[in-house]
Amino acid sequence: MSTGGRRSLPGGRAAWISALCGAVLILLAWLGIVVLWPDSSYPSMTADCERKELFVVGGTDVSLKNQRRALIRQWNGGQYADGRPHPHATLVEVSESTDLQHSQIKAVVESGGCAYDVLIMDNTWTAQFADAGYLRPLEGVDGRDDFFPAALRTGEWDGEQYAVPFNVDVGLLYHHEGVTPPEAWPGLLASGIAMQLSDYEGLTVNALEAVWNDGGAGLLTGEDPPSTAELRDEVYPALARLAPHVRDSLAASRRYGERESIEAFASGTRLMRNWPYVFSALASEPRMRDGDRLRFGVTALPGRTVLGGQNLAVSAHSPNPGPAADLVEFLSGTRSQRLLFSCGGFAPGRYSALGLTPERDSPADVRVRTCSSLTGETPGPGEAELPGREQLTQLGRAVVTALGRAEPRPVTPHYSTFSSTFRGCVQKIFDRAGTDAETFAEAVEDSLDGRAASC
Amino acid sequence: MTDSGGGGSGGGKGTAPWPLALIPGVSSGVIVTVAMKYVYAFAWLRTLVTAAVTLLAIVLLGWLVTRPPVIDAVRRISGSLPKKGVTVVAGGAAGASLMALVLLAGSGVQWLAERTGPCEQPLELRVLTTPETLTPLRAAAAEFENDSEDRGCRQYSVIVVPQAGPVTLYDGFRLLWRRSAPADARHADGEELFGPQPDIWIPASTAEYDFIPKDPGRAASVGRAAGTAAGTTAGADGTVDPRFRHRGSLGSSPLVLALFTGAHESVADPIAAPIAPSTADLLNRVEDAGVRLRAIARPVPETSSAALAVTPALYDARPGGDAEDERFAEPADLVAPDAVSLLCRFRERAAARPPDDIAVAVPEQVLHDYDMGRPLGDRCGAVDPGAAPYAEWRLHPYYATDLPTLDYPFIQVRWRGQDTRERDAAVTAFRRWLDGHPLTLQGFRDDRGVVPPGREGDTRHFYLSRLQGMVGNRVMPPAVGVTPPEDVQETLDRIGAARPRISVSLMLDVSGSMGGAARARGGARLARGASFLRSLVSQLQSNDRAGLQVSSSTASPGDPDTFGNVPQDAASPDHKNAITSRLQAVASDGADRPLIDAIAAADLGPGRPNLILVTDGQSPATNPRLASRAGWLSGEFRERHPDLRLTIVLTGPATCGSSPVEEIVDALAPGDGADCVTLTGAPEAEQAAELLSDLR
Repeated sequence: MSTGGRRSLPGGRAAWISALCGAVLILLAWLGIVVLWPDSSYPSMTADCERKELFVVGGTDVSLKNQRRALIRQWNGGQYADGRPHPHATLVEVSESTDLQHSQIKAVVESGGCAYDVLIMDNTWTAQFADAGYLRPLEGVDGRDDFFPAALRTGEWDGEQYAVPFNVDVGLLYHHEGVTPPEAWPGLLASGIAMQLSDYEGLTVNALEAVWNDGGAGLLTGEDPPSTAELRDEVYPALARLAPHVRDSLAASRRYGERESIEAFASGTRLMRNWPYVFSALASEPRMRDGDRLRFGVTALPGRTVLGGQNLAVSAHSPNPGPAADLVEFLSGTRSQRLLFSCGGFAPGRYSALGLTPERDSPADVRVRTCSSLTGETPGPGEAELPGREQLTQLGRAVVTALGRAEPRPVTPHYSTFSSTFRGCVQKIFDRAGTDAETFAEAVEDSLDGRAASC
Repeated sequence: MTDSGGGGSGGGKGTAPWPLALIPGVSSGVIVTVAMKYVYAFAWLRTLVTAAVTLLAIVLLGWLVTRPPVIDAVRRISGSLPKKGVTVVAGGAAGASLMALVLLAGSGVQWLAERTGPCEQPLELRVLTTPETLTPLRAAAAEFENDSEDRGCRQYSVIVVPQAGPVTLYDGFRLLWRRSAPADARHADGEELFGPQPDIWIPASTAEYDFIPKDPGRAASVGRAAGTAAGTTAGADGTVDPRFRHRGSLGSSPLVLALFTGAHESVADPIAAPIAPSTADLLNRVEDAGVRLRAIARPVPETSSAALAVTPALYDARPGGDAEDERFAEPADLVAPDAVSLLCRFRERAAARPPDDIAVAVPEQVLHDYDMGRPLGDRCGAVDPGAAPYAEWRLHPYYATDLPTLDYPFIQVRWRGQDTRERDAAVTAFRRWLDGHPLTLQGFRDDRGVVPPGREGDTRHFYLSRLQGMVGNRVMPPAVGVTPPEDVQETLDRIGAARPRISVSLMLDVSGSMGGAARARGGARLARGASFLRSLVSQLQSNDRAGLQVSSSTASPGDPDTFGNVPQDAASPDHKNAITSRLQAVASDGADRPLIDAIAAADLGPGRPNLILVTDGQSPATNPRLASRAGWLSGEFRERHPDLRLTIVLTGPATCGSSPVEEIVDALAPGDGADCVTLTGAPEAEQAAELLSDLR
C-alpha cells in the first residue's frame, strides 16, 4: 500500500508541467462548454447600428401644445455653437401607459438593442436600468447646481449620475374657490378629499404619502431599505390607521385614478390630491372657469409628498452617445424647461425655469413667463391665454413649496416588484383581509430585493 | 444465486433476443425525453436535477475509487507503466482535479451568492393577443411567471396587450410596428408605435396569421434609410424584419350564436342536435320557436378578428343579399370594436331587461368568461354571475357546422436588434409551459375541438366543462368540428362589397387653442382629435374614399400646399398612410378660422359627402356674424350640397350646446344633415366605429 502510494505521488518538473497542463485543459474545457459554447450557435437577427440620427423613446406626448414634439423640432432646426447642424432626432412614442413604455424600452435595452439613444424614463426606473448596465453615465452635467437637488438625485445610482430630470411631479392640493385647504395631514384625510386609491401606481404613491405623514417619515424612501421591525412597527400601523378613513371619507377614492379624481373634482368634490399637469387640464374645463378666472386654487400638500417625474438618460447601446448627451442637455436646459412648464403644463426640473436660483429659492420668488411671451405666438383675437401669468405663478409656487418636502419612492432595481407587492398588501389592509404586521413586513422586505411575495 | 435467478428470467436462455431488449430501451428513452422536457420547463427542477446528477457523480466516483478491484486495477496499470509515465499521468490528473475543484468551488460560491443576494432582472416578454383572449392569457401568463420563480426570483416578466383588428395589424407589421410611415423628410420628427413590439403574437386564427405580410424585402421598401421607429433596419443580408414562427395551436374555440335567457327558453329543445347542420337551419329554428330576431350583434369586422371570421357564415345563412345581411349584423345601438366591448355593454345594462330579440355572434371562450363573471379584457371587471341581474343576462350558446372555429396559433415574432438567445429561450419556455398548462384551463377547447374534463377540486382554473354543466350537454356539445375561418382578404372584400361605400372629408381644426387640454382623457386637444381620426381612417375599406384638411388662420384648408391637406381619394393602404402620417405630424398654430369658413372650404368629393369636423368648439368671439353666416349655411350652402352630412366632433372644452357649434348644427340639421358628438373616455376605436356605423 505504502509503496503504491509513493509511486503514484508525482514529483519533479515533469509532474508540475503535467499538472499545469491538466489544469489548463480542464479550464479550457470549462470555458468552451460553459462560457463560449452557448452563444456560438444562435442565429440572432442583429441590427445595423451605423446611423447618425438620434432616436428618443418615451410615452405618448400628452403635454399641451405637444410641447415635447415641439422641442424635438426645435433641436432639429438648431445647430451647435460652431455652426454644425444638430443631428436629426426622432421622438418615438410607445404608448400612454407607463407599464407598456417600460415593457418596450426594457425589452429593447436588455436585448442590447441600439434602437434608442435617449430614454425618457419614469424616475423610479433609474435604479433598475443603471444597475443592469442599460444606461451610460452622464459626465459633466451642464448647470448641475441649477437642477432641484432632490430631482437630480433621482437620476443617481451607486454614486454615478445616469439621468437628469425632464419634468418633476409632486403631490399638490387642489381646492375649489372659497374652500380653505387643511394645513395638516389628519384634517386632510377627514375632509373627503379625492385621492387615487384604485389598483395602480397611484395607490402606491398615496399610501406612501400617508405613511410618511403618519409616523413613517424616512421609511420606504431612497436607497436605504427599512428593517423588518420598522416595516412592522411603523409602516404597517400607519396603513392600519389609514384604513378606517378609506372605508369612510375616502371610500369613493378607491375607484379613482388620476382621470376619475379630476372628474370628481370638476363635479363638486371640494379637494383633490393630484400632480401639477392637472392644473392646465382643469384650467380649460368650463366647469372650473368663470370667464378668464379660475374657480379653483392649488397649494402644496400638507406634509411630505412623493417626488415623481420623468428623467432623461442615454442608452448604453446608443451608437451616438455624444450627440445623445447633447440632446439630453438641450431637453433639460432652462429654455426647454420653461417651455415645458409654461406651454406644456409640466413642472420643470430646474430653478431657472421658475426664475429662481439655488440661493434664491423661496416660493415667493417664483417668476414665470407665459407661453406666448416665450414663443411669440399670441392668442388670436377673442381668445384668452390660459393659464395666464398669475395662474402659472400660483402653480409654480405650489410646486416649489411641495418640492421642499418631496421624497423619492424606494430606490431599488426591483421597484416594480416592490410596488405591486406593496399595493396588494395595502389593499388587503384596507379590506381587513387578515394581513398581519409580520406578514406585511416580510413580504415588503422581500419585494425590495425583487422576490415575489404577497400578503 | 444471482447468476441463476437473474439470468433465468429472460426466457430461460440467459440473454434476451435483441429486438425484445430494444423495446424497454426505446420506451425508457421516450419516457426520459418526455420527462426532460418538463424538467427543462421549470428552473427549479432544472437546478434540482443538475445538483442531483453532480452529487450522484461525486458519490459514484468516490465509491468506485475505494473498491478493491478498482484499486487493484490502478495498481496493475501503474505497475506496468514506466515511472515517468506514471508521474506525468498522475500530475496531469492532480492538476485537472485541482482546477475542477477550484471551478466547482467558484461556481458554488456564485450559486450561493445568487441565492442569498437580490434577484436579477426578469426577462421582459411581450405578448400580443385579441381583446377576447386577454383575460385567459393574462391568467396563464401570471401562472407562468410564478412557476418560473427560482428561490423567489421570477425569471420572466410577461405583459399581455390587446391587438387592434386584422386591418390595423397588417399595417403594423408592414411598417415595423409604427402607426404610419413619415409623411416626408421635413416632417419626420415623431413616430408612434402600436405599443410594445410583441415577442409572441396569439391571433384568433391561422387565417389571420396568413393574412399578415411576410414577404422578404418589404422592410427595405418601407424602412427609413438610417433607422425606423423601432430602430430596426432591414438587414444587410436582405432578411425580412420581423420574422415569424408558427409554433402550433394553443386550443380552439368555435364561434357561436348566443341568445339571452328569455329567447333561449323558447328555442331550447332537448331532442334537437346540439350542432345545427348550418347557421341557416339554426336561424330557422329560432324563428320557428317564435323568436323574431331584430339583429345579430357582431363586433365591427375591421377591428375584430372573431367578427371577421363569423361574417361569411352570417351572410350565407340569410336569404337576400350581403348588403341586407350586413345591416342585420351591425345594429346601430350595439356597435362595438370587439366582443369584450360588446359583452361589457350588456353588463352595464344589467339593471334593465335583456333584449331577447338580439342574438350575439362571439367566440365560445369569451361567452364562457362573460357567463362565468370573469373580467372581460381591459373593458370591464369581474361580476358575480349568480347575482340576479347578471343571471338574467346570461347568454346561451348555439352551434352550427358552418360557424368557424378559431385555433389561436402561438406565433413567435423576432425583431431585428432584439433577437437574442435569452429571448428565444424565454419564448420557448412559455410555449413549453403552455403545453403543460393548456388554455383548456382557461375556458378553451383543446386543439381538436373537444371540451376536456375539469380537474377534480381545481377551483383556480376555468374549465369549459363547468359552463357545460350549467347549460347542459344538449346545448354545449362535447366536441365540435374544427372548421377554419375563410381567407381574411376575401372576407374583407366581401364585407366591403356588402357595405355602402362611404366618402369622408376630414377637417381638423389646428388653431393654437387646440394645443390646450382635452376633456375626458387629457392630453392636448389636437393630439386627441388626430388620434380619433387616425382610428377612424384605419377602419375604412379600400372602396371607401377619404381626404384630410386642416384649418386655422395660418393653415388654409383650400391650399394644396398646406401641410396636412390630403385630397380625397380611394382609401388604399398608401392613401390611408398619407392621411395618418400627416395626422401624426401636424402641429397647432395660428388663431381660429371660423368654423363656417372651414366648412365652406371643405373638399367634399363625389357621392354623398360626409364632413367630419374635429374641433374644440371655438367661441362666439372668434366666429363673428354668426347669425348671418348660419343663415348662409342653411340657405345657399345647403342648396349647393343638399346631401351633405356634417358631424362636428368635439374634443372639449366646448359642448354640443355651446355657441357656435349649436347654431351650425341647427343650420344644417333638418333630416340627418348634421350632428354633434363629444369625444369621451371610451376607446377611440369604439367611438370611431360608432360614428362610421352611423354614417353608413
